[in-house]
Amino acid sequence: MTQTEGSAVATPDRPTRSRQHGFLARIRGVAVWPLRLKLGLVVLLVEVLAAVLASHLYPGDPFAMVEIPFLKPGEMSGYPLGTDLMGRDIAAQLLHGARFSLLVGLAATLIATVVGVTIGLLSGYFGGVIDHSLMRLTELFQVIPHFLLAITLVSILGATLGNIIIAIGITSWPMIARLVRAETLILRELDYVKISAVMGAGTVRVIVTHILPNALPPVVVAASLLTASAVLMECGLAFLGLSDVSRVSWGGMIGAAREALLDAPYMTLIPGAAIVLTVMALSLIGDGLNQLLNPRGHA
Amino acid sequence: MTTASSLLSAQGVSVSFNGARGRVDAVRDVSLDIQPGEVLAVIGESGSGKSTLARALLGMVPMRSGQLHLDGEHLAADTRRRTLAQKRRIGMIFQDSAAAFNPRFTIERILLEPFTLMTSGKDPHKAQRPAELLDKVRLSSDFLSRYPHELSGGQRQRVGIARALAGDPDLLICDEAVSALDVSVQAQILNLLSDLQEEGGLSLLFITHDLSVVEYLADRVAVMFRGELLETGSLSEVFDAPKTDYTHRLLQAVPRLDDFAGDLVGIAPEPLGRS
Repeated sequence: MTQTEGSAVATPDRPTRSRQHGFLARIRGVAVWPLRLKLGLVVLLVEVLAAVLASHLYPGDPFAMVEIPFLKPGEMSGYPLGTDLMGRDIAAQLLHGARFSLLVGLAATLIATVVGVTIGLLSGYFGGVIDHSLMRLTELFQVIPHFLLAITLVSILGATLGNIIIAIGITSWPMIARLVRAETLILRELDYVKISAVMGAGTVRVIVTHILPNALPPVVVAASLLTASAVLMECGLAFLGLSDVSRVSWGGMIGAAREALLDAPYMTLIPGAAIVLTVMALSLIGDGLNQLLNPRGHA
Repeated sequence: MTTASSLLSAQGVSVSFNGARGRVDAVRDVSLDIQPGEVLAVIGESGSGKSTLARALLGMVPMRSGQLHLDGEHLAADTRRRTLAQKRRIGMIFQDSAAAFNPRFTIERILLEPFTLMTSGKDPHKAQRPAELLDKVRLSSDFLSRYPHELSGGQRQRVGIARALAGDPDLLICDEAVSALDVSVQAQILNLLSDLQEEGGLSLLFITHDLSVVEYLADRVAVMFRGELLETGSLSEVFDAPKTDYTHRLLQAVPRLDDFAGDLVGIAPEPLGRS
């Protein structure tokens, strides 16, 4: 600030590193990432790796009956996590299940984010009748219990991978929509957004270049938490037998093992632990991102 | 009201907002003219509507009623119905230089935006324009790759001026352009504006509550109170012989150093717990 004296040409020497960093600037530098973010990412990375390598490590059908049932973990070499009620390898099911659970979680989140961001932007930017009708629609989806709606949708549409993703995605977007709408309401009043429109930028241009990128940080946080709840919801559907029966799922494993809950608790505990770990990792990521992207609020 | 020779002429401008407690008339029936090359300062207390008036002239807020003329030609209140040439002739500088720029844009991209939006056809020299603009506000082209948050307040305000100059305007609307800056930086920005105004024959519409800035820069002064224009006149007319009681009180309300000189008596602070 001091080198701009008189008519001398100012050059940047030591930029004032304010707390309002750009989105990318805040993401850069793993060293400053919060511990919880690193921890969550490591756990999630291990799970993704397991999911990717599933058919490599356990090439056969995970539903195949390979040994006698009720093998406890460690009881027989080659079956580190034992076998279930029907003599199927739990380790193989766990890895194959990771694939399904993560796929459903991420794909459903993608749908929810795309729908939510679009509705939030339109609602917040245009206001008036558009805002009013879109928000009533959002509320309609918010007041129906999400899980019941998902159950209904899957029951009607049929329990296939695609339908499960759509059902979970469709029930999860309202939160994102409200979040983006709130951000948009603030952003659209800012001088740089207004001057851009005054200079002649069209609505699409203003939204895409000025509003959307600046509304995204909280969405990234919300999306990771949404993935966690999508994974949980899929497990719930699978537990009730409403998931794709041709695929292994953690929820399905628990559902099948509940008959032997007292005799062989490990059959439910193992997939249960996998679910807890995944949801925890995603929550840690969401929490960590929130801390990283929003330096003001340490909620 | 001589619209023929005026650069920008506004007649009967009113702006209203619909708030939770009904309609708020922020600007009521304001008429003013800006001559080519002059500095018109609009003064008034917070909430007097001076910023809203500036934004209405630029087209950032819709007017409820009123007519605008630029060089005697009708200027639409809705910026979408203004021609590119008309848009280029008015530039705007904002008070809050943090909200004035997209935080994800580099300075280069910020300065390219007006060319992208306000040039018809191809400009073969478009790539050089941002550096040229920075040169006009005496910043080196090293700033092009920087982000707004990496700049100091004064540097940011220079970038704001650079962007406002992009269309080679005849009128710069400065909305509290120096109010958020340190006094020393304020002086630099005011000098820059004053130089630009003299070199380029720019007209300035200067919105401020800082009367010392007005004395430094303004040729003419307009006083606003509760959305209405109380009086306009040359700097000396308004400052030395205010026509309205309000203007008189507004000028009186400003503490001046020479008022205090002499009768400022220091009082030693009492220790805590006494008295």
